[in-house]
Amino acid sequence: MKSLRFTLSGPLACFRQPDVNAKVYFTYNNIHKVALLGLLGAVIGLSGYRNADLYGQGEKLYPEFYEVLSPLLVSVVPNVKNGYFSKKIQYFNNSVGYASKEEGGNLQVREQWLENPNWTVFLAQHKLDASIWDKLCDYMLRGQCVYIPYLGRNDFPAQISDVCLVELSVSKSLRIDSLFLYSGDLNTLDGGDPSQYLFVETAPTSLVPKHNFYEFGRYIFTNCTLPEDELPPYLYSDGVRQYSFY
Amino acid sequence: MLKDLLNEFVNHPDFDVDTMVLDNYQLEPGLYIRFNNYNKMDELYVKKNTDLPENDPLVKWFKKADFYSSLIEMNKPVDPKKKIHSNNLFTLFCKRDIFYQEGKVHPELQEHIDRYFSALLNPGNRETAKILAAAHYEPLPEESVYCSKARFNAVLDTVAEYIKKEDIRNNCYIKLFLNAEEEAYVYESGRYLLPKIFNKNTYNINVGGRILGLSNTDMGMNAKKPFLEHKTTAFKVPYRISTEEALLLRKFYLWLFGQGRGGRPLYNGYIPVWEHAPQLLLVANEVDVRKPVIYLHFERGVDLTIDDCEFLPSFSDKMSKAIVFTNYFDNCLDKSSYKSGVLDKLSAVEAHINENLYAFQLVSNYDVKNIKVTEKLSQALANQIMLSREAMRAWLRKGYFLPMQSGVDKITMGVILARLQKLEFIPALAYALNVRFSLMKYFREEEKDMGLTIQTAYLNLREKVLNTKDTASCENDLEFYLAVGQLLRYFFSLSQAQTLHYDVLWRGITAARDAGDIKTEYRKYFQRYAHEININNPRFNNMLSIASSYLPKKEEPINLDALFYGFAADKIIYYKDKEDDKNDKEQ
Repeated sequence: MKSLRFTLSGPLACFRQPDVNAKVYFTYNNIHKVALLGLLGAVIGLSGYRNADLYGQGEKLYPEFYEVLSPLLVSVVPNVKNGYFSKKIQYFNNSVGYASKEEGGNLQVREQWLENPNWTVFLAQHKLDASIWDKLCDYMLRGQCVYIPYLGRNDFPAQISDVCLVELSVSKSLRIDSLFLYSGDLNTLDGGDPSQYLFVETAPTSLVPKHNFYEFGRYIFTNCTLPEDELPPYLYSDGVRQYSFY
Repeated sequence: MLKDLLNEFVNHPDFDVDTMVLDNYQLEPGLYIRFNNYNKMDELYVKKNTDLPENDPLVKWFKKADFYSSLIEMNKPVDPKKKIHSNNLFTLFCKRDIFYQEGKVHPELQEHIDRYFSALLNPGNRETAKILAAAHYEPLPEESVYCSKARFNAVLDTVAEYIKKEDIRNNCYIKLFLNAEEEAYVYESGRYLLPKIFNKNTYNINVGGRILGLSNTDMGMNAKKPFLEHKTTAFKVPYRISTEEALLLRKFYLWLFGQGRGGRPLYNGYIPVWEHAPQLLLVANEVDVRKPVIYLHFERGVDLTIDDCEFLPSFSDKMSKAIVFTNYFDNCLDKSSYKSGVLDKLSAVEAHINENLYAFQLVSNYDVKNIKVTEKLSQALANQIMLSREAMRAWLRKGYFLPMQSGVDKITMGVILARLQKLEFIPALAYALNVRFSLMKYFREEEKDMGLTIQTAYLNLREKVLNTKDTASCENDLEFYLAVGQLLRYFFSLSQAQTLHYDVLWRGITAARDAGDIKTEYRKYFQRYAHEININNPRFNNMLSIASSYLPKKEEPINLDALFYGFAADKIIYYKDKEDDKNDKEQ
C-alpha cells in the first residue's frame, strides 16, 4: 500500500479538551484524528467549522474538511520517550476588551500547552476520492498550502517536514509502534519488562453528524504486546515497525 | 480527561460508586434528627471537630440520607428563595437562624415550608417535565407531599425545644429527616437531580432519543465571558453528555472531594490506570512500583476544581537512579546536623530539598499564585521559587527530570543567592551548598564532582595556612576564592554589631563583576576591622597574602561556589585540631 509519510512538529501545541472550562483548559497529548483532518483540510483549502448558516449555505451534516477527508486513514507515532510530551500550564490575559464583560474587560486564561511535540504521521488513501488524494499528496510533497496549518491554535504554526511516499505492507505482529484505538481490557496487554510503559488517552475519533461534537475512542501507545484476537484492523508495516491506521 | 478518570472510577470490581462516595462522605456540622413512627426520634449533633463513630448504623443512615437529599449547589435549589436546602419530600434542611428565633420556631419558617412543598409539587418548566417523563417518573402524589408536610409541621416545636436545650448558638444546619427506605430516598433524589444535573437545560438536545446536556462539572457558561460559547460551530457549547454520565461525574467529584490522609484533605494524588486498588487515589509514596498513572491536582473551594492533570505512562516514586546527598563539609561541621545519605524516593528527595535548599518554603508554595513575603521568606526567595517550582514539580511529582537537568546550575545557585539575604545561621548555607553540589553531581554525571574539588582545595588551603612559615602565595583561582570566603567570615566574626546582617556583606560580593571587584570588597572590610587584627597572627597573614597574591586571568568568571564554601566552612584562622585539643588539656 502506498502511504504518505511526514513529520509533524512545532515548538508548542494545544489541542483543547472540551470537557472542562472552569479553571484550566487541558490539551490532549497527541494530535487526534479530527484535528489532523482539519490540519490537512487547511493544506488543501477546505473550509472548517464556520457556521454554514452564517454564510447562507444551509445546514450541513459536517464541516467541509471532515466531509471530504474522513474516508482517509491515518496513523500517528509520537516521537518521544514513552509517548509523553511534557506540558506546562500557561497563564495569560486576553485584554482585547470584548473577551470579558467584567470590570476592566480582562479575561484570564489558563491553558496547558505541549512542549516540542513531534509526530510521524502516515496517511493512507483508503476510500478517499482519488482526485482529492492526489491533490493532497501533491500539495504536501511540494510544501504548498492554502491556509496555514497549525497545531491547535493559530499561535502555533505546524512544521511539516520529511514528506515522502512510502510503501507499506499488510502485517499482523502483536506489537504496535504507533497509537492505536483499543477498547478492550488493559490487563490483557502483555509487558512484563521493567521498561514497560502504557499511555492511555480518551480522545476524539470522529464527529457526530449535524451537531458536530466529538465522539471518543481510547488511544493507546505502549511497548506491550496485544492478544492476537484483539488486534485492531488496518495494520501495516514498513519492514521495521508496525503501524495501526484508523 | 474526565472520560479517562471516569473509566477508572466506574470499573472498580469491588465497589459501586455510591459506596465509594459514601465511604468518605462527611456530614457538615449541624443538628440531624430522624423522625421514626410513633413520634420517636433519633438525634445526632455534629460539631466542627466531632469524630463520628465509623460503624454506627445511625451515622451511616444519616450519611446516606444526607447524601441523597443535598443540593448540587446553591444555585440549583428546590426552594426558589433558597431558604430550605433539602431536595425531596422526606427532608427539611435549613440554617439554624432560619429555623429558630428567641427560643421559639422562627415566625417566618412556616412560609418557607409552604413554599418548599409547593415547589416540590410543581417542579416548573416544560424541560423538567420532559426529562422526568423520559426517566419514567410519575408526578409526586399530592397526598404524600401534604402528609410529609404535616409530619414536619407537627415536630417543629419539639425541634425548637431541642435547640434550646442543647443551646445551639452558631448558625449551623438543622436537618430533619423522615424515616423512609433507602430506595425511596434514592428514587426521590433522582427526581431532583435529573432535571438539575446539567449546567442549564436550555442547552439540551435530543440525539437519537437520548437527551444530551451541557456538563456542569468544572464547566460553566458565563454571560460575562461571551467566548466560553463556541461562536462559529454548530454545537455552541463545549461538552454535552448524557444524564447518566453527568450523575457519575458529580459522584466522582464528590468522592475526590472527600479524599484525605490521616484526617487531612488531599490536594493531589495519583490514580493508577486499570489497577483498581482499594485506594483509588494514591499519594506519591504509595506508588512504589512503576506503572501508568493519572496525576491530579485540585483546588478546594465550595466545590472541587481540577487544576492540573497529566497522564504519566510510567511513574514510580522510587527513582531508577538513587541520588547521593553528600556532606561536603564533613571535615569541619558537626556531622550529625546535615542528614547526608542515599535517597531513592522522589517524595524523600522533595522533603530533603525543601528543607535544606528552600528552607521549607517550596512545597507549601507550589500552587500559591502570589507568594506572600514574610519574615522567613524574602522577596528574592519568592522570585526564585516562582522561577524554579515548575521544574521542581515536574521532576519531584511527575518524574520528568529534563527541565531540572538543564536548569540545575542556575536554579540551585539562584536559590542560594536569594537565601543569603535572610540566612538564619551559617550552617544553613553549608546545607544548601551540599544540596547544590549533590544535585549537580546527579544531573551532570559527565562533569567533575564540583563539591569534592572544592573540598580538596579547602583542605590544601588549610594545610598551607597552618604550616607555611614564610609568606604563602596563591596557586589557583579556587584557593583565592576560598581564601576570600574565609577572610570575609573572619572579618564578620570581628564585628561588634549586635545583629549581623549578611546582606550588607554580600551585596558587594554578589554584585561583583570580576575578581578585581571581589578584591576591592574584602579590602574594604580589612580596612574596617584592621584595628582588631594582630600584626603577628601568622595564619591571618598567610590567608591575606594568598588572597592578595592572586592575579586573576582576564574575564574569568567569579567562582561563587568556592567563595561560599570558604565562608561556610570552619574558620582556618581559629583552627584547632585534635592534637591542639590534647595539648591544651595536658597544659
